[in-house]
Amino acid sequence: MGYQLNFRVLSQYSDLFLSGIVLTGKISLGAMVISFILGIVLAIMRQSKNKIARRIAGLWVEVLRNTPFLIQLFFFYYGLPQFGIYVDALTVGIVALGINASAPNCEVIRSGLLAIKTGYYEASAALGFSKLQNFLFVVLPISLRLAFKPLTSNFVNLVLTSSVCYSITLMEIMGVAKTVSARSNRPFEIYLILLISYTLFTYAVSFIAKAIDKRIEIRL
Amino acid sequence: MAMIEVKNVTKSFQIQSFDESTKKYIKTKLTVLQDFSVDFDQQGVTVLIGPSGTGKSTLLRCINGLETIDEGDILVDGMSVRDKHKLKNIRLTCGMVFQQTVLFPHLNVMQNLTLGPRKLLGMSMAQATDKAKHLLNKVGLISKEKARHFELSGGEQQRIAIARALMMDPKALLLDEITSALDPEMTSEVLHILEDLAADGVCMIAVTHEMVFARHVARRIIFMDKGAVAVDADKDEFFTVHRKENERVASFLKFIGE
Ligand SMILES: Nc1ncnc2c1ncn2[C@@H]1O[C@H](COP(=O)(O)OP(=O)(O)OP(=O)(O)O)[C@@H](O)[C@H]1O
Ligand SMILES: [Mg+2]
Repeated sequence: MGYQLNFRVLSQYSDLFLSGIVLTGKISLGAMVISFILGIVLAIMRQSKNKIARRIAGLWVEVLRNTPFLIQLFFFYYGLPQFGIYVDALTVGIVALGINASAPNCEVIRSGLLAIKTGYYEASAALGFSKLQNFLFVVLPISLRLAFKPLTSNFVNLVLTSSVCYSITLMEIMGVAKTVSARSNRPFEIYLILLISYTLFTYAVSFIAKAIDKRIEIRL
Repeated sequence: MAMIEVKNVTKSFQIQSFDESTKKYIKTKLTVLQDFSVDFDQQGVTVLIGPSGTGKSTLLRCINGLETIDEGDILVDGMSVRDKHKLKNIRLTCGMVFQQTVLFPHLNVMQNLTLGPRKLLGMSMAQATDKAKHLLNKVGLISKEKARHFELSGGEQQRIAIARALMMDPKALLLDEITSALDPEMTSEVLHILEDLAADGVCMIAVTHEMVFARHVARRIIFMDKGAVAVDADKDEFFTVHRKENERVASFLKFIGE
């Protein structure tokens, strides 16, 4: 006697799996963009001379890092309608995940900013660049390159965390797995497929990241 | 009107020092330039010399607006360094190269040269690249066009920094001990470039301890001491009359091995 792996029964659900993968990709990509932009803004706020900006950014990061993503997700999904704000589940998922990942992104971008020496400012000031131009053309590109590696591991985390979005009815790959597993009663095969899919997903992210990293590698 | 007019400038720094008797840090004022005046014309090479800590770097940094002055005024081409809106034009008028050169680490040599003209002078990529090639030829580094900063020696980095400053077509170059962190071989590489530029008529105000260079290339020599101009003379006059008659000049030149 032994367990007979049976993937055949699952083949009828292949379209569903595919759409789940596509949705996971959408959620992840959208959240990456949001978390990246928010991360930059927060990192700038944390480094700013303005005390209030520093406090807000600090609090934002603290709260997000010390609460479970599931609760953050429910907070937006069930909490906002109480204020008459109705947003579809996909938007909530993308935005909540983007906000969640903005915290670790802020931290790594900030450490990139901290590595910038005053010498760069003087070099660009002496050429005639304003403070803003110095930030845009020198400081930011250098810090982002320095932060690139830790940013990609944040992005890998983000892809993995996106699975929690099934809990707000989103049929991303985890949601699909739950559904199919109820219908077909082949949970072992289904979650094996999921483990492999996520591994491939994150592998793809790291692969692309490595390729980019080679091109933008920086030494101070 | 001189190109650069430094008029009665006072410049001081707030410094923290440790008071032994009270065991506390106290803030004190260190006055570096006191009622300091000097003019620079757009002519040839002026060499600034003087003992360490007399304010040579501070003077150049004030001219370029990297330090703010307490009193007096500095006019560059008639523009006051006190006017925040003129700062960009002042810096375009006076290019500056530092002892410790900082090439932008995310850019290669060519990009380091073209960034300024493209963003600040509205030059096209093609124009900027042409100009950069011309200047890279001038500093003898056309083969390093694609190199990154860590692939360059200290002397090469300084030559790139000179070219980068020249990309902006400044009326004058402010050079602050740009060879003093280099070994003798690299120093002479860089000085050769400066000699060529001087021969081309580029106006330079250089802080340097390279007296051979000063003898060859300088038109005017300013000896600064304790935050003031102690001697301001024609090169030949400086090395003959002043070296004989001015004790401080004589002992300084002796000190630096001249
Ligand atoms: N940012 C600063 N804060 C405090 N003190 C400063 C600052 N910059 C310069 N100083 C002080 O001002 C004085 C003049 O410095 P400066 O660098 O202009 O001298 P220098 O003539 O260039 O000397 P050197 O030949 O050693 O380069 C020194 O005593 C220095 O310690
Ligand atoms: Mg100095």
